[in-house]
Amino acid sequence: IDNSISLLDQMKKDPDMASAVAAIRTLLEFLKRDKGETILGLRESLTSATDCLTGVDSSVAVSSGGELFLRFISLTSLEHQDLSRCKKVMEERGELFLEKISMSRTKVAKLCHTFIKDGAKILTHSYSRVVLRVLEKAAAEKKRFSVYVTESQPDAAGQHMAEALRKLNVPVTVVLDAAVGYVLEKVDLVIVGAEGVVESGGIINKIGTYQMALCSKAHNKPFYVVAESFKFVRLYPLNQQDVPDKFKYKADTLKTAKNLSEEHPIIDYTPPSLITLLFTDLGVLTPSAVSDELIKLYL
Amino acid sequence: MTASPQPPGCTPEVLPRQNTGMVELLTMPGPYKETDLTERVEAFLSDLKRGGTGAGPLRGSAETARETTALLRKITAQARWSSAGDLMEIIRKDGRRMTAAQPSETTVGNMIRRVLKIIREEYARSRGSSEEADQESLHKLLTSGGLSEENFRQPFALLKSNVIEAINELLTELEGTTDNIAMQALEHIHSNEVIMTIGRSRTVEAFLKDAARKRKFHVIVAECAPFCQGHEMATNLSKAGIETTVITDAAIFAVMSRVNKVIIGTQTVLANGGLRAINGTHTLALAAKHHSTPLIVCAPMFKLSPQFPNEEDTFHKFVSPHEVLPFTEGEILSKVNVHCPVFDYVPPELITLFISNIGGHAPSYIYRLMSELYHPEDHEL
Repeated sequence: IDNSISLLDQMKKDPDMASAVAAIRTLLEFLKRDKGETILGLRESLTSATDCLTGVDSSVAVSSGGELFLRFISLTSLEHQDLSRCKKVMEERGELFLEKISMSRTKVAKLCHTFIKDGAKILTHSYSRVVLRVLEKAAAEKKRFSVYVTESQPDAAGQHMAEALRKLNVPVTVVLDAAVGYVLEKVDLVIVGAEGVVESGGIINKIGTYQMALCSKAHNKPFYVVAESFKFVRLYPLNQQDVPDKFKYKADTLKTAKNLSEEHPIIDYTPPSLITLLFTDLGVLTPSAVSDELIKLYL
Repeated sequence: MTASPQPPGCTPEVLPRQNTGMVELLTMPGPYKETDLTERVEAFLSDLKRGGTGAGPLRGSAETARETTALLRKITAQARWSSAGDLMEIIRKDGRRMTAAQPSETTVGNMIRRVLKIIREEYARSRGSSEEADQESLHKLLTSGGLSEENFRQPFALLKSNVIEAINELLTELEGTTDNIAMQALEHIHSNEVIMTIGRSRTVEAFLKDAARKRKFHVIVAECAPFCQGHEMATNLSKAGIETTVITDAAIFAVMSRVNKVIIGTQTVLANGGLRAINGTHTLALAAKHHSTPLIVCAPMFKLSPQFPNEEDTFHKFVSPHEVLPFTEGEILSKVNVHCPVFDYVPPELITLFISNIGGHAPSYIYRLMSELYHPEDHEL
C-alpha cells in the first residue's frame, strides 16, 4: 500500500496528467504486483488501495477513477474463469484503456474549438488542463480570442492558468472571483473544466463555478463544460449539501480539522439546468445524455 | 476512362468519382449507365441550387428527401464499387457536392447520413458482428479488446441487394411521414381550442386537417412577412372547413393570451433540440413562453440534423431584400441597409414537445434519436 502512495506521488510529478489517470495507473501497477489467488481477494485489496489513494488526494476525480477501475475489473473477470489468464487480460486491457484515455483530451479539444469564433471573449474559472488544451487548439487554428480568468482563491490557481495562456500569446486578464457578474456583459461564452460529472448531468468543480453558471444564465451566455469521460461519477446530488464531505475538503483538512463546518469547501456542485453543453471524448452531449452513458456502463 | 461528356461548367470532381481505381472490379456497368447517372446527379445539383429560394422552397423538404434517397439508391445500383468502404466514399463525395450546392437544405445531408448508417449496419450484419460494436461509450472503452479499425474493406456478394432493400424501406418510411404525424392530431387537439401557427407548413396543415375531421376548433395564422405564406395556409385551412384568422406578425404577442396551443413546423431540428425555422418563429416562441402556452413542433425524422447551432457560416440565409423594400423606393435605398433573413434559431428551452412520425418526444431526448439515426463519424461528411 505504501508503494501505491509513493507511485501516486511519482505520477503527480507529471503535471499534465489528470489525477484520475494517475490513480488508474497506480492501481494498474498495484494489480500487476498483486499476489492474490482469488478475484474476490483482488477486489478487496484494490478497494483498500483506492481508499488509501483517496486518503492522499480526496478529489472527486481520484474516486471516480478508482471506481471505474473496479468496474473494469469486474467486467473483465466475468469473461474469464481462470485467474492467471484473467489477470493477463486485465493487464493488457488496462494498458489499452490508459492509452485511449490519454488521447481523450485531444478528442475533446477537436470537438470544442469549433465553437470558439474569431474575436470571441471567453471566461473561464481557475486552472483546468482540458480548457487549456481546447484554447491551445483554437489558437493553433489561428483564431483570435481573448480570455478572462478568475483568480480562484484560496489557491490562486487562476494565475497559473493566466501564465500558461500568456505563453500561447493569448491576451488574458485575471479578474477577482467577485468580479464575475461585472465582466459577464463583455463575455461571449463561458468554458469550464470539471473534476467530476454527476449522473444528473451536473458537474462538480472548483468553488465559484456555481456562481459563474448562475450569472451566465442570468446574462443568457452559453455555459460549456469540457470533461473527459472517465470523470463520470455515480453521484446524484440534489443540492450543495448532498455532495459528500470527503470531496468537499482537501484530504489533509479532513484528517486534521476538528469542526468541519468551520472549514471552507474547495468544490461546489453546478446543476444541469445551468449547463448548455458538455464536450466529452464520447461526443458533444446535452446534460440529459450523461445519465444514459452512465447507465450503459454501470448496469 | 473518359466516356462521359463533360456538362458545361462542371468541376473536375466528376472524373475522379468514376476513376476510383477499381478497374479490376466485377461490377462493370456500361458507359451508357455511367453518363446517365452523372446526368441525374448534375440535374439534381442544379435543381437544388435553383430550388430553395427561401420564399417557400419550390419543393417541400419531403420531396427533397425523397429525391435525394432515390438518387442515392441509383448511385448504389449503378456506380462501380466492390466493398462497403468504396460505396461510402462515393456517397460521401457526392454528398459533399450536394450539401455545398444548397447548404440551407439540410434534409439532403440528413438523408446521406441515413444511407451511410444503413450501409454500416448492413455491412456489420453481413459480417455477423453486432451493430452496437461501433457506438462509442464508456462501457466500450473498458471492455474492448484491440483498437478496432473498421475499414469496411471486405466484399460481400449480397451487400448491394441488402443496401438497396434497406434504402427502399427508408423510402417507404419517408412516404408515410406526414400521415403518421397527422394520425396523432386527435391526441393533442381538443374541441373549442384556439391554436396558433405561423407561415406555411405542409406537415402542420395535414395535422390540423386531420383533427378537423372530428373536432371543431379555431386557428390563428400569423402571416409571416415578407413572404406572407400564412395567407396560403389560411386559405387551405378554411377550404377544409376550419375557422381561420390571419394576423400580422406584430400582433402575435397581443393575441397570445387567448391561445391554448402553438403548433408550428420547422425547416430543421438541430442536435441540441433547438430549431432552425422560418423567421418570426423565435418571437412566437418567446411570446408563448411568456404566457406559458405549450409550443408543439411537428417535424418528421428526416429533418433531424446533427449540426449544433454555432457554425455561423452555414447558418443564416439571406434573400433579395426587394420583398422588404421594393426597388421602386429608390430614394430610401441609397441611404439604408435592407436585410431579408430567411431563418430563425429557437433554443430548446422554449419548446414543449416534438411530434414526429415515430411519436412525441421532449427536446432533451433528441440526442438519443440522433444516435439511433446517424453514426457519429458521419456527422462531418
